[in-house]
Amino acid sequence: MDAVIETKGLTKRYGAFTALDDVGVTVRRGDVFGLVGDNGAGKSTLFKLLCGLAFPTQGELRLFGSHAPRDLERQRARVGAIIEQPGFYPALSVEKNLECCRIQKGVPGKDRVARVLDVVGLTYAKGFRCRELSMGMKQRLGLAMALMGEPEVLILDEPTSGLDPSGIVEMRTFLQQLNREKGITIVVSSHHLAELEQLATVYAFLSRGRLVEQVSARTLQTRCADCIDIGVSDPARYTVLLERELRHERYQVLPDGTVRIFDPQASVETYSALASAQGLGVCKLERRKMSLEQYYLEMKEKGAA
Amino acid sequence: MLNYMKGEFYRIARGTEAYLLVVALVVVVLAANIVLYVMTFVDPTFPYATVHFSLSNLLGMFTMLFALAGVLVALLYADDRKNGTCKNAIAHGCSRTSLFVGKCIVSVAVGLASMAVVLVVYIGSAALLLEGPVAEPVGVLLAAIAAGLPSIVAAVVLAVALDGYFAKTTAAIVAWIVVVFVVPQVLALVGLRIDPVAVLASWLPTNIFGNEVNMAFLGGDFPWDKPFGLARCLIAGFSGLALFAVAGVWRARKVEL
Repeated sequence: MDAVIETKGLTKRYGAFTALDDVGVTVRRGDVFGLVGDNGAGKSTLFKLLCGLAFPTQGELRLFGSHAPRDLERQRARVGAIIEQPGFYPALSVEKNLECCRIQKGVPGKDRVARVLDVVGLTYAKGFRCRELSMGMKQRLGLAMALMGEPEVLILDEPTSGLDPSGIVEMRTFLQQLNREKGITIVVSSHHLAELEQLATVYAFLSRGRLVEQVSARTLQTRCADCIDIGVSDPARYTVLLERELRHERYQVLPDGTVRIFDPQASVETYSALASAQGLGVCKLERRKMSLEQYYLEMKEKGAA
Repeated sequence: MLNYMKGEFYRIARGTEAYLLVVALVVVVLAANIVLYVMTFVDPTFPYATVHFSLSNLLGMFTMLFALAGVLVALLYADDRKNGTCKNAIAHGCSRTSLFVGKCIVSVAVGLASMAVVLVVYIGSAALLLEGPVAEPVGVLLAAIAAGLPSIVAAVVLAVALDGYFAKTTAAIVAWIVVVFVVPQVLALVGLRIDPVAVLASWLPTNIFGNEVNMAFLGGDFPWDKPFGLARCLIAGFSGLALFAVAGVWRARKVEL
C-alpha cells in the first residue's frame, strides 16, 4: 500500500516552545490512523501542518508523494479536514453553507449537496441556520464539508468532541463505513481512547511534541492481549514444562527473565503450581490485560523518560 | 482562485451584510434629498434645494468613501477567522495568495456594485426632487469618483491586508484608520512647518480628497481638474494599491491560522 501522508523530522516551534519535535509518521492508503496524545502533545499542530494552516520549522511533509509547496496546495484538494472546530458561516443555512463549499471546491453537480446531506444525516436540517445547530449537528456539517470533494483522505481533529454517546457511536460507524466502503483513508485524533480502539488500524502516540511510537492495531492487540507474567528461578526449564505439561506454546521470555504467557487457558494458580511442583521458585506472578488507555499511559511515561 | 471567488459571491449574494450596507446608504442619500426637497415647502426662498448642492455634499465628504471601503471589508470578512472559514479554504487547497487576491477582487466588485446602486438612487432622486441643472454637477461628481477610484480600491486592499494580518478585527480597524486617516493628517500638520513633509503629505489620498477638495469649495479648482492634479490623484491611488497589494500578499503567505 502506498503512503498518502509521510512526514520526516517534522518540527514546529513557536518561539522558544517546540510544539512538534522531529516527528516522522507514515499513513498508508486505506489506514484509519489514530493520533493519540494529551492536550498540548502536538496533535492539532501536526494536523495544521498537514492542512497547510501552519508552516513547519524543519522537516519534510509529503502528501500523495508530493512535497513542494505548490504541489502540496494542489494535493490538499484531495483531502477533507476538520481542524479544531468545523468552520462555516453562522448566518447562512446548512444547505447554503454546503453549496458555498461545493462552489469553492469546484465540485460539479448541484445534487452533490443533497447527497452529502443525506450521507451525514442532516437532510432534515438543511434549512437551519448554522448558528442554531447543536454541537453534534455542527460536527456532522463539518464532516459533510470535508466530504464535499469526495476526498481520498479525511483529517479529523477530535470529531467526537461535544457529541453525546449515541452521536459518538453514529460517528464511529459512519467513519468505519467511509473507510470500508469508499476506501477513504482517515487520520483521526480523539480523547476517547476506547472509541479510537474500535476504529483505528494504526496508532501514533505523541507526547510533548515527540512521536513515542507508531504501531499497527494488530501489533498493539498482541501487546495488550491477556497474559500472565511469571518470574521463575529457571525460565528455560519452566517453558519446557509449559509446553509439555500444559501444551501451551504462546509465550515469550522477556529480557529480565520473566515468562509472558499469552492467552492463558488456565488460572494463575495453575501456572504457579506448575513451577512450584517442579521445585522452581516463583518471584513474580501477575495477570495483565491492557486497554489502549493503559498502553497509552505506559507510552506516555516512556515518552516522558 | 476563481472557485473561491465564485463561492464568495454566492455567500455574499445570500447573506445580508452587503444588502444592509446598500439599503442604509440608499436611505441616507434619499433622506438627504427629501429633506432638501421638503425645505422648499417650509421656506420658499430656501436656496439649497438644487442638484448642484446635493451632489456637492458627497464631494465635500469624499473621504467618507474611503471609510465605506473599510466598512465594506469589515462587513464581508471580519469574522472570517473566527468562523474558521478562512481555515477551510486553505485546508481545501486554496493558496494564501489566491485567498488574499480573491478577497480583494470580491470586495472591490461588491463595493463597485453597491456604489453604482447608491449613486443611481442619489443622482436620480436629486434629479427628480431638486432644482437646477443635472449634467454639470453629475459630471463633476463622476470625475471625482474616477480620480478617486484607485485610492478607494487601495483602501479596500489595505483593509483586506490588515484583516489578514491581525487576529482581532478591532486591531485591524484601528490600524486601518491610522494608515488611512491619522498618518496623512499628522503629516499634513507637520508639513505646515517642514516643507519636504508637506510635499509627501500632498501625495496622500486622504489629504488630496479631503483638505484640497474642501479648499476648492472656498474658491479654486478641484485637484483633478488639471492634468497634473489628475495624475497626482491616480498615481497616489495606484501607488497605494500596489504597495498594499504587495504587503498583503507577502503577509498572507506567512500568516498561520
